Amino acid sequence: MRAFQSSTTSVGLLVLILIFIVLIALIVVFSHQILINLAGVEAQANIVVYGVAIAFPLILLGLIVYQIVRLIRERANRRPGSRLKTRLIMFFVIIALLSSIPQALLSVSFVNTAINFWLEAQLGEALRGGLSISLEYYRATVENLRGFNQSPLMPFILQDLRRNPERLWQNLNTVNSEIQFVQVFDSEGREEMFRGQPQGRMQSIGTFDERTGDLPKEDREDASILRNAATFELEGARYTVVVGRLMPEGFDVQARRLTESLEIFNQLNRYKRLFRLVLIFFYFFFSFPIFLLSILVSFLLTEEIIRPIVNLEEATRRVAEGDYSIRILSRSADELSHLVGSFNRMVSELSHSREKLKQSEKISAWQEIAQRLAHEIKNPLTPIKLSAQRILKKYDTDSQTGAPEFQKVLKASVSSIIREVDNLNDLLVEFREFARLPMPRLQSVRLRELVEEVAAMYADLSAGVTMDFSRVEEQIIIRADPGQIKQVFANLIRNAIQAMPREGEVTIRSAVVHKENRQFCRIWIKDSGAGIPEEIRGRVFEPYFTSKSEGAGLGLAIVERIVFDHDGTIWFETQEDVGTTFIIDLPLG
Amino acid sequence: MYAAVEYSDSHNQEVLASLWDGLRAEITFQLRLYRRNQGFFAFLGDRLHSEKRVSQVASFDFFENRYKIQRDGRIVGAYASEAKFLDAFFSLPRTEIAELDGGIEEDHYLMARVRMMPVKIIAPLSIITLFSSESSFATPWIEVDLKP
Repeated sequence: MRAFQSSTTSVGLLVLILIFIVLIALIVVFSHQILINLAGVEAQANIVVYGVAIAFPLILLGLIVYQIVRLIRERANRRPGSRLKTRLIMFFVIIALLSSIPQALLSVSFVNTAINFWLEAQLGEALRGGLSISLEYYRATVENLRGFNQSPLMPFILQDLRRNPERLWQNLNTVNSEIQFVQVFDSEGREEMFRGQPQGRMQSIGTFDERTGDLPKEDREDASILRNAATFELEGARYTVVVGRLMPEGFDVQARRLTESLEIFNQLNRYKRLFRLVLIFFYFFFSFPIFLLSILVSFLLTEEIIRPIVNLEEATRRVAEGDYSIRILSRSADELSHLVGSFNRMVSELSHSREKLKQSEKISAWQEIAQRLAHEIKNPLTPIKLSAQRILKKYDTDSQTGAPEFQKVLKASVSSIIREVDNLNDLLVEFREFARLPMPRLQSVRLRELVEEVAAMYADLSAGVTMDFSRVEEQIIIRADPGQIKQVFANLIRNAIQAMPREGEVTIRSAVVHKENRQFCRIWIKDSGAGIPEEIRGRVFEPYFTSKSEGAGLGLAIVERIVFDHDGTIWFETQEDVGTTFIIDLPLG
Repeated sequence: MYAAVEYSDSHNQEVLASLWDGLRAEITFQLRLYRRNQGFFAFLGDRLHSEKRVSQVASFDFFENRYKIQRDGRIVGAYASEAKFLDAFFSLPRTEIAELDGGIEEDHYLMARVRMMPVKIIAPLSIITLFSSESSFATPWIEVDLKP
């Protein structure tokens, strides 16, 4: 019993779907990192990433090309289901394209919109405006510190440095409330006084002349501090007065963020065209392998879908050819599996019916053979009985009359009995041969050699008949039992010669033919005799049917039986007064 | 062993324009100390003894009106004068390349090159450096023989 079943395609499909999911997960998780790494300074470090990025789509492309080539070959070989498979794959690819193209267009449009939105002129103006305001505030503060420290008021306020430092601080604060601390150093750089916000206190001022004017902004984690230093003479001594202000909390951080944002904005603005192209490139860079993977999945899905249909088609074809042992296995539980179940039941019932039919045909065939055999045996029995009765009668008459004719009658009658018994014997030998024909012992044999051997045996049988087997191809090797096939050729050639009593030609030729995905050797045995009359054409292969005066009529029945046992077929074409051609198909070796 | 590098084929105006636009510029000095392979194994190429890579990032502080140079994330110089800033930016001060126990030998030589980005491109824009050669350029490697 042959059976079709599902292959490992479903496993391959599962593996592909798994790769699909892993790929998407990798893209989602690592795309950011991959992009940053790719843009690293050292290209050599990214060689693995480049390698994978190039190799993966190439492998997928290779697999798809392989599948396409396979499909083309299947179509060329007319493999069942290949056309349906092509159509399904086309549908899948079109569906993949239909879903990908709008998605791609949408993504590209989104990228464009997003970049344009980010780089809107108003945003740039806002950033620059924010920075200008910050700078203005900063410069105003610096200017205020500088202006106040260098104003003519300062020497008066400093009068209280030795006498009342507290009053100095109060006066300073009253005149300029922006100042948050004051620190005074002597000419040696030692601190003389400090009042105000403690964060503004400097540890040292350094050398006297170097540190005057606007001091560099001091950036701390909690604050940034602006200072201005100026020198004064008081009671013959020189002092450095540092006034300062702590910038509002977060000012420095916000200003830095503003600067950085402006930097990003300016960069984006400068490279926006290239950046847009790069984003679109990477969109396709990541989505192209997924698209290829979906095409590959469509190949396997198609295989999975059409398998039961192809199996059904193949099984139906085999049933049509007479193979009722075929069954289809199905693991799924869908409508197709119900169809497969119905098909299997139908073939099973068909097989049972056919077995019964064959059995009854066999019985009726044997009944017919028995009838024919009885008839054939009965025919010689009458002359035997008559001859025996004649001997007995003659013997009785002669014994009473003493006539000498008994010897003559005895000889003739006994000869007749012996002849009829010999005929009976020949009949039974042929019958035994037909009934006990052994199964062929197959081997690879060269057709030409078999034909030559048999033709040599019959070459001199009739002087007017010539034999031409030059078109029997040398290289053809068939799988056959040489003895049985020689018997086939012998019977057919003998029949052909007997069909041409005076003169004619027996032509034998061969060729290789394709039949239902198999290769056969086709042999033509043609005579130029009178042809087979139409009324007996349907009975030529029947046992004990003969149109000739001699023979039991088993020759062609034996020929048909041998060819059938070789998994071959035989038929004939005939035309009265033109000749008959017997055609045999035998499997190639 | 110490080395100092000066890059004279500078792109002053490009750098200054970038800084005034609120962008940053980057220069990378790459120094490699090789030892010549002689004799039978010469075909394998010279042996890399050590490599030093120093990047300097320049920016303009609009609040202080000063050009600033950062190295390894730390500010190493602030300049009110353009000329002084450019001199400092395009030169690498004396930097230790390697510790040579036996001192410099005749078969030692130094390779140096400079990679320049008038506009230091930051992530995620850095991806465009893969597709555009305009954003950065590098000098060829220059070989300097060392004398013991």
